[in-house]
Amino acid sequence: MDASLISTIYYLAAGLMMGLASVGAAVGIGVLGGKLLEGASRQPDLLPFLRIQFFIVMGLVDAIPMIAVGLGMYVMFAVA
Amino acid sequence: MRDGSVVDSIKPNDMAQYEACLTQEGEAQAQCIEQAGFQQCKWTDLGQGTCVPYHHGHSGAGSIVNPYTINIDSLGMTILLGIVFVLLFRYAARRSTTGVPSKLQCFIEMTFEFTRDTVNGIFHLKSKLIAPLSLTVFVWIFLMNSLDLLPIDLISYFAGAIGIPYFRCVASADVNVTLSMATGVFLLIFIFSFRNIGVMGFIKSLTMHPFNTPLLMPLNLILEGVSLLSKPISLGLRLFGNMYAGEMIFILIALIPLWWIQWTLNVPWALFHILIVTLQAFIFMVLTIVYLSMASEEE
Amino acid sequence: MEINATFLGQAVAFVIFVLVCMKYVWPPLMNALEKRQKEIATGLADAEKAKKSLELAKSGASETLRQAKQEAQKIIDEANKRRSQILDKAVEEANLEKQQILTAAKNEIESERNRAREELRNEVVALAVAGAEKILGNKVDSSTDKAMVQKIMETL
Repeated sequence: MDASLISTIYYLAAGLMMGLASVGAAVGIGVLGGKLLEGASRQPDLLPFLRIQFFIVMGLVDAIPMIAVGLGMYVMFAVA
Repeated sequence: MRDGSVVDSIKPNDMAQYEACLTQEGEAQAQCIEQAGFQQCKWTDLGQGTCVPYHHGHSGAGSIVNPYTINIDSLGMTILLGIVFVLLFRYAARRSTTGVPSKLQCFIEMTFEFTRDTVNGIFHLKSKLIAPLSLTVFVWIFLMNSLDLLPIDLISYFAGAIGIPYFRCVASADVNVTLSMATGVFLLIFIFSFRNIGVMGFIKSLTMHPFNTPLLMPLNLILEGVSLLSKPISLGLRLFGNMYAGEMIFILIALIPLWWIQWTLNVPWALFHILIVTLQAFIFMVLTIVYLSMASEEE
Repeated sequence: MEINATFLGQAVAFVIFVLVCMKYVWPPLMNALEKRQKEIATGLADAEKAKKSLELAKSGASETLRQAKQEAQKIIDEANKRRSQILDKAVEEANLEKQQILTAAKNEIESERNRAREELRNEVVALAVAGAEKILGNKVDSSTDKAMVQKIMETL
């Protein structure tokens, strides 16, 4: 395998990692945001509390996709 | 590290010849250096203006674990920021008067009360270690992360003038730093478990958990083991991934050719990054407390 | 990206900083906050006490005011009574004096009348004598006429 094929595969790998990570993050945060809106519509005076919890859980849901994005960037720039 | 050399920083054997070559003939740096001959810069050569950053290809295939290198940049930044944290908080504690407090003191007391309330809300046993640990983790990681909001090449420019080729000022974008703190928390999980529920209680919590029969102990062990091992890895890599990706996007924005249009992308990402910085520090602290409280309670 | 000796360096730094925080940062901050909370609590308690004593003082003050008003009313009533007493006495005295003046005046009038009557009688006698003299044309003899004049004067 020559170098350009390996380089291509590195770029493909990085793209795959970041793409799938973004799908996971989008679906997760979308569901979470929907639940926030639903909860806020049931009890509007709990909205500030729910907002805080939303951000906390968003940080957790975002974790693995962020790891994948970080590693993908590393593969794209520092390896390939 | 064994020979005290600095990675990717070299010293031309004949400085005058090297500079003459660069200015006169306008050749590429590589050829000039090949002409002049070079040696690795060592520790003691930094700061004298004789070191030149130069990347001369991968010297062999590096493995992922390399115990002979030390990242002075991130380690130095963590130690510096830790000292800043300790001095700042001691100053605020010493100066607390009974009159009207100053703004800095109010801020520090707010942080202190915030961590204390978070700890008291989650961890219900008595421990003298948890609250200072969570305060240290929160403020230290927050300080480390907040350096990401400085312009990208600001500090590495000054470091390059000394001769240090790469300088990472965001210490938590270094995978060693975050994984090390996460491993520390992981060891603390063991310590807390052994101290509060005993060794037998710990083994029972690993082997009896989803299914309470002795027959399925291996299965339980596998499931609980995976969940136990994923704790430090996810804790450390979450912080690393967020900070590394943030810094990488800042670098990419800085590489856009039109300098007067960079602010349209830079400003929104920086605003979002402020949120991420605080949130990641907070999540690290909360997860530390949650893991330690889960490790030290009986069913 | 690699795991290198920074891992161990960071672990050591982490342990050192957590221990430093546990010993030198957390206790002073905790003590400072507790001291301030205690001071705030005592300050609030003192404020409560001060408010209560203020209320007590206010109610005591209104009580004193009420009593003062009562006494003032009493004094005014007494003053009125004294006034009416004095007035009555003055009226009595005035009446008395009126009576006295009246009687004195009456007495004087009597005495004046008497005197006036005396004078009148004397004049009438003189006139009668003069007339008698004129009628008689003679001088009245002194002694018997004097006796007759006396008798006439007495009948007058």
